Amino acid sequence: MNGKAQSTAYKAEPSAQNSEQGGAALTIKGVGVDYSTAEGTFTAVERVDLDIAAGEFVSIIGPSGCGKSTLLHSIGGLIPPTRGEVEFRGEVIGEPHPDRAAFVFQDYSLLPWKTTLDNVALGLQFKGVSKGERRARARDLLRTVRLEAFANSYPAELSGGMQQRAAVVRALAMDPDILLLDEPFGALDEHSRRQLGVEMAELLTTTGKILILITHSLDEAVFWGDRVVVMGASPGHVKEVMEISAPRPRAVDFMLTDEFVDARRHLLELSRHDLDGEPEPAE
Amino acid sequence: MSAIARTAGAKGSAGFQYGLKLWALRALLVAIIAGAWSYAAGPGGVADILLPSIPQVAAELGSLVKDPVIWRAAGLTLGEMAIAFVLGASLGIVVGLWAGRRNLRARVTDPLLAWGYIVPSVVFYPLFLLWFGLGSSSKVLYAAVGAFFPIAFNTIRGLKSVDPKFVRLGKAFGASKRQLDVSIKLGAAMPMVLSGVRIGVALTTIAVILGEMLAASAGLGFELAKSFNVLQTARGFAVMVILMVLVGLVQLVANRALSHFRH
Amino acid sequence: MKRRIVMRASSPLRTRAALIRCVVVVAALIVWAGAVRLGFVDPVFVSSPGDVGRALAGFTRDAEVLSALVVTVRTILIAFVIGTVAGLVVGTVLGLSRTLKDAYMPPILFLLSTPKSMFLPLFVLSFGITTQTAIAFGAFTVFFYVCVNIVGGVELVEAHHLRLARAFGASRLSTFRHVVFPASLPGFFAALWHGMTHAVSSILLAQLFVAIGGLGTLISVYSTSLQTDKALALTVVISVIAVALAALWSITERRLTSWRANQ
Repeated sequence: MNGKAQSTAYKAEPSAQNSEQGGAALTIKGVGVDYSTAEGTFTAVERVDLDIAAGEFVSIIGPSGCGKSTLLHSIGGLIPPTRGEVEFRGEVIGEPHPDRAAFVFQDYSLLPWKTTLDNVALGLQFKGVSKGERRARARDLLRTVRLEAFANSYPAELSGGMQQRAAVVRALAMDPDILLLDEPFGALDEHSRRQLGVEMAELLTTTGKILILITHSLDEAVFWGDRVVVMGASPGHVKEVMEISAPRPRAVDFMLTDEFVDARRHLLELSRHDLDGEPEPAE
Repeated sequence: MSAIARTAGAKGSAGFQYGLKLWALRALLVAIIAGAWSYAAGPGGVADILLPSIPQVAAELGSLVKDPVIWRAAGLTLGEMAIAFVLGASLGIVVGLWAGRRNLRARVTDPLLAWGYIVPSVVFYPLFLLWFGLGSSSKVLYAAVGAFFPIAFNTIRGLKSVDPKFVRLGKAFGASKRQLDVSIKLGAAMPMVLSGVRIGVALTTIAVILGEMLAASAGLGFELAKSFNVLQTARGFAVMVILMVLVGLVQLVANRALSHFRH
Repeated sequence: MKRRIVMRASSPLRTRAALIRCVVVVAALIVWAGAVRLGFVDPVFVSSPGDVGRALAGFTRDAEVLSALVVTVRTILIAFVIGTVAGLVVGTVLGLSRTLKDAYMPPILFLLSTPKSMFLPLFVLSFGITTQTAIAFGAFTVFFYVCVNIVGGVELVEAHHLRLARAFGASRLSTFRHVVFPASLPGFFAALWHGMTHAVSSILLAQLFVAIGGLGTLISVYSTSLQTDKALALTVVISVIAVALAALWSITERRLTSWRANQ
């Protein structure tokens, strides 16, 4: 099963990117998020401006506490921004709209009391799709990630990688314009992580959707992204945006190319600055 | 004395042999009790009305299970338990859901329910007798109140301690407020609710039997107390055996039913 | 950071909840008083807040009530001590031996879940209508709860701690003192708490069931002689004592656990 998955990933079709359409589909305009605490206001994200084209894959990396998750939650409408706004095709995103932007969370977030099938059908259930129809659709989706045999199992009976595959198709079930991946492989071990990455490659990058990936892994950020957004902490801000020009979907060999290695080295240097401790703005 | 040595020893022995050892130990305890009992009732010279012999109890048990009076009493006791449980549990879950939906409501009611659970409920039974009479209704209501508190309390606690990541997930996938309550929060709270229900079942059986023993005109608890009061001690022992079997069955059924719910 | 927000924000909410709770209680009292005044309910059966308050005040000069209180507290303490010591010994033995635990825990757990009141007539038979009946029954009940919690506590001693102790060549005695004993402390405290609550309720139950004096007997006497105000006032006294003890215990326990967490 491994070999088969890899071979599909290698069959690099002409890039499904739509950057040629031109113009931004998703606009992040001066977004900032403050939390109010007993000690006063705490700024999680200072100000982020970003235009993302339809079909683009954007990776966001940065140290813990740089507000990257908060930013992602704002894009998905889970946390309303304190300043600025997020617009999708000219419409302001104010609240969660899974048809528009669907999440894949880090800790799988499958509901332990529902079967895999009903977990995948969750968003459809909330939308009011009839039981028969939503289960049929969820079953089809489970087939695409070869989990149909586990449709009636509970999440506890699935491995971490399997749970995460289910979480990915649960988001795809909403057929959203934007997929928000919040460290989707973060809780997996190195081996499962790589394997899942290869398996997801085709599924995720040929959909024509906007994909935004939050990750700690420089490898992941460069491997997936058309652009890599590097964020800095205290308070969260964009330090640099890096273009990765290689066409997608990318094969594992991409990791051996100069572009990958150079980009990775550059990111490593940037993050070493964080470790050395750059002069932090006063809070 | 040493857990270390025992554990190591047990690991080496075959499962079957170990099981045999356990049953031998249990048989030993039963034999000691039966021996002491037989000695006291026989050569020991304890009067029959204080301690009947084992064969006497067995004979009494044999005739009791054929006695329609006992079956009617058991039916009544079981019926009281069932009605009391349904009343107490449904009210408990409804109140728990109502209060658990809002933070303020939960904070107002939580201690009240905890107090109701802590207070030794026995002392209220005479009042229930006074208000609802000797018949079944005093037992049913008393037991229903007993079941209500832990179930309502656990429902609120369960709803209060729902993992925020589940709520976030529900919101992200477009759940309405009602859907969030029903599909996410109640689902996440279910293990707590079920453990409340389990306690509720136990308290219902305890309260009904207690109520029947303290003052009643029918039911197994009443038969038990009456037998001892009129010094039909062998019959009392036999009723006790029947009651234990009944309680065991109720627990078995309850556990089976509850294990059907996945958490 | 987020955690701090929640805790700070909840403080005014807590005072508001306490306030609302007071309002609810006062409103209930007013409804009760109003219902009596307007003749909806019969004061002979439900008394009234004013009468209960007067009865409460009267208790402070009532020798009958005060001596019953003393008898009950003394009986509870004696039963608690006997039952706890027995439960400690048996619980430690069972907890340290896997074989004995596997053999005898299932029957003990079953007896724990049966209504203990079933066995009360046996104690009456053995000890007659005396305080000893209550003490024996109370100790019997306390024994089960203490025993089970001690076994649970000893189970908390993690196997790898024991291995560690053995690797360092600790003797059995020092293993017990430095590893088993401290690790099983939470179970020990739980045992004390459950032992105490069941000592209270079983003694009150015995005093209700057999007229041997004490608060239980007094409640039964008051309610059957339609001195409803006094019966209610006594339940109030017992409830307040129970709630106060529970509050005291939970504060102590929180202190102890925070000390553990800070270690």
